[in-house]
Amino acid sequence: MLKSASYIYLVSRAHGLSTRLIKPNEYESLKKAKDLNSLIDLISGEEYVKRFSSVERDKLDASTLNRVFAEVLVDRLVYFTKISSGKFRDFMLSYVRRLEIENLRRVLRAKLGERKISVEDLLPIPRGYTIINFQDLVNVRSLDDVSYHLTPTIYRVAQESFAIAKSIGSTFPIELVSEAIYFSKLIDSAMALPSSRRAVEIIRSEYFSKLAYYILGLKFLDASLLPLEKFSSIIARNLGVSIDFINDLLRAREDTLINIILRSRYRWLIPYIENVIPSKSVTDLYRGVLKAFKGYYGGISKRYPLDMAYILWYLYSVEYEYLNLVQLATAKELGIPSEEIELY
Amino acid sequence: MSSIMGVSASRGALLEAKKQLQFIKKSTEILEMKRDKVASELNKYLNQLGKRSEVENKLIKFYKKFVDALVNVGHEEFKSASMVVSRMDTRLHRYLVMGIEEYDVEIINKPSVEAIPNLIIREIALEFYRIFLEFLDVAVIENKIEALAYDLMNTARKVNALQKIIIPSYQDLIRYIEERIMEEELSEFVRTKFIVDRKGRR
Repeated sequence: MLKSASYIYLVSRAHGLSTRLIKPNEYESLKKAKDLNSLIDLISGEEYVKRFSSVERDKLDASTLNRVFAEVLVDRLVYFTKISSGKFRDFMLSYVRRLEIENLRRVLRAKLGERKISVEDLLPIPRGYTIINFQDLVNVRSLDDVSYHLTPTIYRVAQESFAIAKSIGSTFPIELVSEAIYFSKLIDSAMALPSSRRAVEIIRSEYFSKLAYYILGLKFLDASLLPLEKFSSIIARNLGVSIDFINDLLRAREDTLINIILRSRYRWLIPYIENVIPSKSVTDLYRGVLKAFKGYYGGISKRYPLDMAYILWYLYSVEYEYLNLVQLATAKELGIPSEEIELY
Repeated sequence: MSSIMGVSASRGALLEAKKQLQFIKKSTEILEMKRDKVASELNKYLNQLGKRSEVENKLIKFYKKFVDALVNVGHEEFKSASMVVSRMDTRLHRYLVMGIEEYDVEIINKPSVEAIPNLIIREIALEFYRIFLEFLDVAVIENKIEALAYDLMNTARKVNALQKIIIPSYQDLIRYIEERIMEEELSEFVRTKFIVDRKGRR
């Protein structure tokens, strides 16, 4: 299929913008930074530097830096949405909803725990890139009011999970459904793109890696998987697999679960997670899943550098950079030696 | 009439002193029994004193895990995920057993750590809560040991004072009163005999 000009333009922009990402050798020098002050001195990216100038050095802490990193993350994703057009723009608008999901998650947790939350505690998503009015949402009184606010949005399907969430006292089911709705919409918009098969496969792999983390993590913690079983159909639809496959994953023991994944198209996850099973460490599992997915989409983008896979590589790399910088800032604040910092 | 410890050497005083000595001896026996009981209780808990270092070591190991988790998820996520945890409420119960104050901590509302949606933070919170409960046990036991040791010290001191000072002094008092009474009886007998003799001579 002949590629459209806008498609070529976007892939080229992704290549151009990727030069602004922090390189592996730069990470090595960032790891060696003495403290937070020297960390921000070493971050040379223009987007970061202009924001650091407004940060008071004597009041510098990891939370302040994390907010700066979050601003850059939001700006980069929004910028890519701005430069895209047509079906790509629709796809990007769906993609940036992950920021909205993150904000929704924060509001839900605060409302369930009856804690105060303000707009400053949320990611700064510009108007037009979110369908939820967070200004109003942070001021609602209860979880039921949040549910009411979601009625005119794509997240109304998640309203059913509010009752379960209240009964178990956890926002986990709502977060799970919201994420499922997000991926469902993202996959729909990815299907309309050229090279849609590859794009959908990458997105499904991201979703599956998250799902594997939830399932194994809950098993490690001896927690009930019932909240997940209620949503098997939506999860199966998103992944393009049978409900039985999902139910098998949910019901299997950890070692059997590894065998089930090994027989699926997501077997690339296994080398990163199988060694975590004996220790049952959720943190190691999280790291393993993130690394596995990075290796997976990195491999595809190398094979298809002039394709949608590269755009997705750029978008994911932006997020991984955010995760790495958050990790570095927190580690530097806690005085963790460089050799103990393990980036994704 | 002569007196010792403010007690006159009379038969009434002797009877009273003997009664008091008997009472003191019985009290000493009871205090001895209490001392032995407290000592055995203390022994029972003493081997649990080592639990503190065990729990502290767990906490040190856990701290490494906690730092690791914090670095992985960041402050924002930690703050956000911990918002769902409900308040923990406790009640302190005070008991008096054999005059010894003991405390127990009852958890009325458990913090809902199982509700934390982020699994890394949930894992950390569950472990931290387990260690917190162990620390609570250690605190209750240490408090018991402190109260028992203090009481044991007091009781032993009382028993010693009774056995070595009070009882001997009462025994001395009784002996003294008995001797005084005997002396007085003897002098009374001699005096009576002397009068009877003088009357007989007339």
